[in-house]
Amino acid sequence: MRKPAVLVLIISFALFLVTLPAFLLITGSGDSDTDEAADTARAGGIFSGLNMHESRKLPQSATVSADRPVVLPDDHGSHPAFRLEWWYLTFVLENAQPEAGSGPDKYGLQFTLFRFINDGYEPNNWADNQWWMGHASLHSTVSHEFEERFAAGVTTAPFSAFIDNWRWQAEGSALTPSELKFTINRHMDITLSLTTNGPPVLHGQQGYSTKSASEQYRSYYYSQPFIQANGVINSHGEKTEVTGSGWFDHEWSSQLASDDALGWEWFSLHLDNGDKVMAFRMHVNNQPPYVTGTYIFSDGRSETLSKEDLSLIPDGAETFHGRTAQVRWNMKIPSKNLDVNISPFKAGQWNEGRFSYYEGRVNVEGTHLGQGFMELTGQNP
Amino acid sequence: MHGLFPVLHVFLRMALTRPWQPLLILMALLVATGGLSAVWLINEGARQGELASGSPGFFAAGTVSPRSDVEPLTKQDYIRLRKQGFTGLIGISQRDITLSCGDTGNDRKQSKNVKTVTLTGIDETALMSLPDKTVQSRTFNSASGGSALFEPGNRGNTSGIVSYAAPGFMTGFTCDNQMLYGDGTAVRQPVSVQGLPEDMLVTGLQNFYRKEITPDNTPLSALIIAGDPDDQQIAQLKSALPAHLTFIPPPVQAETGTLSASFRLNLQAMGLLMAVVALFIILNALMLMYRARLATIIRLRQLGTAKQTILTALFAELILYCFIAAPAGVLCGLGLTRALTPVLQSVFAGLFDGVFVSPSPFIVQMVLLAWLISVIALAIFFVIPVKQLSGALSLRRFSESQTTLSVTGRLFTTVIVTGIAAGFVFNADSTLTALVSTGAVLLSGCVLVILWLPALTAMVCKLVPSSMPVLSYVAAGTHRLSAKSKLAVCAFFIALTANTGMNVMTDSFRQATEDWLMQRLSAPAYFYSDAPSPPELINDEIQTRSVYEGRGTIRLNVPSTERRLAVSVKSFPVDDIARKSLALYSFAEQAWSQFRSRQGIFVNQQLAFRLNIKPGDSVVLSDIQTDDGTLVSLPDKSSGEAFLIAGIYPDYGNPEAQLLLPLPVFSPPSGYAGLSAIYYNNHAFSGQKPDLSELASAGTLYFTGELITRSMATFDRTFVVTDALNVATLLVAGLAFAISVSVLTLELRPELNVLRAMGVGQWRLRLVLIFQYMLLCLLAGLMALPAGIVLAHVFIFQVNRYAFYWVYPLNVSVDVLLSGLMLSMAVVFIILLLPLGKMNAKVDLRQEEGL
Repeated sequence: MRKPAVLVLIISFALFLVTLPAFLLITGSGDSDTDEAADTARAGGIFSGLNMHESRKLPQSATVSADRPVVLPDDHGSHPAFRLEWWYLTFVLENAQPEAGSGPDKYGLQFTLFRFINDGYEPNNWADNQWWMGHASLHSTVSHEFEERFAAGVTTAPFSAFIDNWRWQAEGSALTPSELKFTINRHMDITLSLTTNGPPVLHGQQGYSTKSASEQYRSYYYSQPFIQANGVINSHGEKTEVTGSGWFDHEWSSQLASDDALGWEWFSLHLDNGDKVMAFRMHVNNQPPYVTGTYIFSDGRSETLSKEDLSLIPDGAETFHGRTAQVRWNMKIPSKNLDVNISPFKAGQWNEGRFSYYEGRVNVEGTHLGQGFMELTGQNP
Repeated sequence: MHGLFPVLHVFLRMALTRPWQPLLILMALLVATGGLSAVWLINEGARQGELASGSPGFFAAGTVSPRSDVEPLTKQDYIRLRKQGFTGLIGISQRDITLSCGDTGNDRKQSKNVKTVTLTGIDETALMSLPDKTVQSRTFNSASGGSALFEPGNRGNTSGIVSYAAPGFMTGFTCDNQMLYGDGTAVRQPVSVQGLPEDMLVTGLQNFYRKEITPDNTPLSALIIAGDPDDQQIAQLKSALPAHLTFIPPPVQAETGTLSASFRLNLQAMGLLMAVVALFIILNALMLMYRARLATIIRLRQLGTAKQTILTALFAELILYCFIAAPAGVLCGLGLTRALTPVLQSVFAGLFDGVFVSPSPFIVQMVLLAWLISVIALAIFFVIPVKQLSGALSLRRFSESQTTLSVTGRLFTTVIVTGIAAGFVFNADSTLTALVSTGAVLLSGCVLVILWLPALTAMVCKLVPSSMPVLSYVAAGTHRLSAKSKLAVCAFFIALTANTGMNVMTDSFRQATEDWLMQRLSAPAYFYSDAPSPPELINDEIQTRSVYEGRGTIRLNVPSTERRLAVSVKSFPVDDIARKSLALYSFAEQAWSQFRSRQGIFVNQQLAFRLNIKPGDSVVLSDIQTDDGTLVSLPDKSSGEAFLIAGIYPDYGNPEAQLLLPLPVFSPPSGYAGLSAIYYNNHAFSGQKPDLSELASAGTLYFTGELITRSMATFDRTFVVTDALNVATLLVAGLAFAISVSVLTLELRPELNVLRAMGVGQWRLRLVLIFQYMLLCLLAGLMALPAGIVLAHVFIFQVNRYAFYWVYPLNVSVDVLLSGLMLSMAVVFIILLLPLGKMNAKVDLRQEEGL
C-alpha cells in the first residue's frame, strides 16, 4: 500500500510545481495589456489634450509677431502653420415671441471650431497633420445640449467654417451676412442668420495679443462683438424663433500650445449701453495671473486695458463633480466707471467632452447691466 | 481548537496509507474544477467573439459599400455623405498583411512568428465624433470592459503604430520586440478590444494609408454605420446614396444572439452535469473514507479529542485537497480549451457563421474561483457524511437496518416522480426551462434507481437457482452492493444517461441531416462562384438553376402583432424536380400549387418556431431587397400583402429565419446567392457524364456526393466539443464507480478469507468479485438506457426546439444504445482489474468498523 501513497504525493507536488509558474506567467501578460489600454486612454486638459505627445518638444512652427498684424478679411481663414487656432461664436439669445404674461426664454449658445497640429502621425496619404474639433452647446434655463465632433475645415472667399453638416457660411469674404446651421445630438436643429452693426475689433496691437507679462505667450486675436442673430431653434420638432446678440473670436497661436499655459478666465460682455468688454486672466506656470482686456465702444472704437485699468476678482464658486471652479466675478474698469458683478445665468454650465471646460452665459449687474459669456479653463474639476 | 494539527496530521497519515478515497476526492475535484474552467473559458471565447457578445461589432447597423470594383467608394463620397448629415458613417479600408516579429536574430529564427491578418483602417476622427459614449462603446469595446476609443494621442510614432485587436490575437504569436508588416511599418503590441474577429488588426486610416498605400490604389472598403438608426434614417441614407454605392443591411441580430445564448446554456448544462457527477463522486468518497477511518476517530475521541476538533481537522484536510486539485483542474480546463479551440473556431465559422475568440484566461481569478466553489460545495456536502459520522460516534454503531419502502410505496413514489419530470418536460417553453427539464429527467431517474435497483438485484437473486452457489453468491453480493453504493451508482447512471441521450440525439440528427441532404441536393453537381455561370460555359449537355437571395422582414398577419422578424429570402424553382427535392416538416393541402401560384410560401423551421406559425397561417412580407440593392418585385402581390404558409421545411444548421419564393419572382435575375445547381441533359439516356471542366475553371464545382461527404464531415466536427465533455464525464463516472465498489471490497475480506479457506481459488474469487460489480454496472446501465432515450427526446423536441429552432425525428438505434453501454462497462471492467488484482489477503479485522 505504500506505492499508491507515494504516487499521491508525487502527483500532488507535480501539480503544484506545474501550476504555480504557469499562472504567474499568464497573469503577468494580462497586466501589460491593461497598462497599454490605460496609456492610450490618457488625456489631458483643454490644450494639453490637444497636443498629447511624449516629450512636449514642439516641432518648429510659426510664431506670433507684432511685425505682422492681423489683416482682414484674409485672416478669417485658417493658419495651418500655427499650432492652435479657434473660431469661437457665442450668443445670448431670447425667444422672439414670448408667451403672454411671461418673460422671454433665455438661451446661451456656443459654436466653436478648434484646429490644432497633431504631430503624432507619420506622413500619410489619408490626411495632413491638421486636426479639427467642433463644439456645439445650447443652454436653456432648464436644459443643456452639448456635442463634440472631429475633422473639419475652414475656407475663405466666401468664408465658410464647417464640420460635416455643421456649417457657418458667409455670402462673401466677410463674416456676415452669413448663415450658421448645425445640429446638436441629432434632435436639435439650429439655424441663425447673422448680421453685424459694427466693425471687427483687433485686440492688443493690431491683433497681436499678449498673454503674459514677458510676451512669451501671445496670440493673434480679433473679435466681432456686434453680431445680430435671428433664427430658429428646433428641438424635437418644436420650433422656437430666437433673436439676440453674438460675439465672434478668432485666435491663433503656437506659443499657447505648451504645458506651462495653464488656462484662463475669459469674459465677453454685451452691456446695455451698447458697449462691449473683452477681458481675461491668463494663468502661466510660476507666474502671477496676467490680466488684460479690451473696452469696445458702441461705435466700434476700442481701448486696450492693462492690469492697471482692469481688475477681475473671484467672488463665488460652484462645484462640478466634486471640484470647485470660480464662477462669480467682480469686474472693475475705473476709467469707464464700470463696477459689475458677473454671475452665471444658470448653474452647471460645464461642457463635458473629450476636453472639458466651463463655458456659459452670464448676467451682468452693477453700474452697468448686460449679458455675456464666460469661459473658464484650467479650473477643470 | 487545541490539538487540531496533530489530528490533521493523523488524518493525512491515514490518507497516505489508504490513498484510494483521497485520490478519488482529488480526481473528482480536478474534474469538477477542470470542467468549470473549460466551460467558463469556452463561454468567454464565445462571448468575446461576435456571436456570443451579441454584437456584430463593426457591422452592427449595416454598411454602405460600393456595388462593384469598377466604381469604388471614394473619399469624396464619404465627405459628401457626412456633409449631408450622415455623421454616423465611419470610413474603413481593409487589406491583408503579413505580420512578423521585429528584426532580431532570435525572432528571425522563429519562423512560426509570422501571421497573416486583415489590417483594417478606421477613420478615428469620425469614431471620436460619435454623439455619445454609449454608441462609441457599442462600436468599439475594450477587453477590460471600458471604452477603448481612439484618442488623438493614439497614433503611430517611432515606436510603432498603435493598433487594436481581439484579446486572443496574440495567442501563439509572441514577439520580443515590436511587430512589423510587409512595408516595414512597426506595430506596437495591440490594445485588446472585444468584438473583433481574431485575425483582424485595427488602426487609424492615417496609419493605414502610408507609403505606397493610397486611397487610389486601395479605396475605402465600406462606410460602417454606427449607432442604431431607425427605418426613416436608413431610408434617407438610401435615397442619398449615389448610384455606385449601396446600403448593406446588418447581419441578422436576433439569430446570433439567441444562438449564442443557447450555445452558452448548453455548455453550462454540460458543465453542471459534470459538477453533479463530481459531487456524487465526492460524497461517495467521503462516506467511504470516513467509514474506513471510524475506528481511528473513535480512538481519538477516547483519547479526549473534542468532536469539534476532529470535524475541523477533517474539513481542513478537504480544503488541502482543494488547494491541490483546483489549480490542477484549472490547468486541465485550460489545456482542454486550448486543444478544442481550433475545433470551436471551425464550428463557429462553419455552423454559426460567427467567431470564436481564443480566450485569454485570468488564471489567478480562475483558480481562486474554482477553489472557492470547491470549498463551498464541499462544505455543503460535508454535512451529510459528518452527520452520519457524528451519529456513529454517539451510538458506537450505525444501525445496519435500513428503512425501505414497500412495493406500493415505491410504485406511488415512482408515479409522483415521473409525473413531476413529465410536468417539467411538457411545460418547457424556453431554452432555460428545456434545460431544467433535462435536469428533472436526470434527477427523477436517480430517484428511480435508488428506489428500484435494490429490488432489481433482489429479483436477480431470486432468479438464480440455489444449485449454483457461486452465481448465487455473485447475485447476493450485487444485491448487498446495490444498497451501499447508491451514490456511486447514481453518478454512473447520470453520466451514462447523458451519454446515451447525447448519442441518440446526435445519431438522430445525423440521420435526419443525411436524409435531408440526400433529398434536397437533387442536382448532380453544384457550382459556387461570385457571379452566375457565364452562358458560354453552359453547353448543350447541362442546364443551370441559379439561387438568388434577398432580405426582408416578416410578421404574422394579425392586427395586434407588430413584431417583425428579419428574414433571408431564397429563390426556389417550381418544376417537378424541385418539388420532389423539397423535404417538408409539415405542410398545408395544395401546398405546392399555392407556392407556384405565389399565394403561399415555404418557411424554414427556424422561422416557423420563432413566430410560432404553422401551415395555413397568414403572414405579411416587407419589401425584399437583394444585396446589390435591387427590390424584388412580387408581380401578383403588393408590398404588405399577405401570404399563406404553404409548408415548413427543415433547414438544419442554418441559424437564420428563411423563406422560399418561386424562382420566377427573381426576374430579371438579381441577388445571385453564389450558387447554381447543375443538371445534366439526357444523362439518363446516354449514361455519359457531361464535361464540366470549363465550368469548374470559372468557380468551384462540387459533385453532390462530395458535397454530402463534406457536409457530414462538418456535422461530425460540430459535436466534437460536447462529445469530448460527455465522454470525459462518462470516464470519470465509470472510474469513480469502479473505485467505489472496489473499495467496498475491503468489507468483504473476512468472508473472502473464509471462501479462500474453503478452497476457492484466488483467480476464481477475483472473477466472482468482478462479476458482482459488472452485474451491478449492467443493471445500472440497463436502467440508464430508457432514461437516455427519454433524455434524447427532451434534447430534440425541447432543447433543440427552443435553442436552435429546429427538430427532427427521434431515431433509436440498438447499435447506438448497446455501444454506449458496452463502452461504459468496458471502462469499468478495465479499471476494476487494477485494485482487485492487487487485493491484499491480509485483513486486520480490528480496523473495520461499519458506518
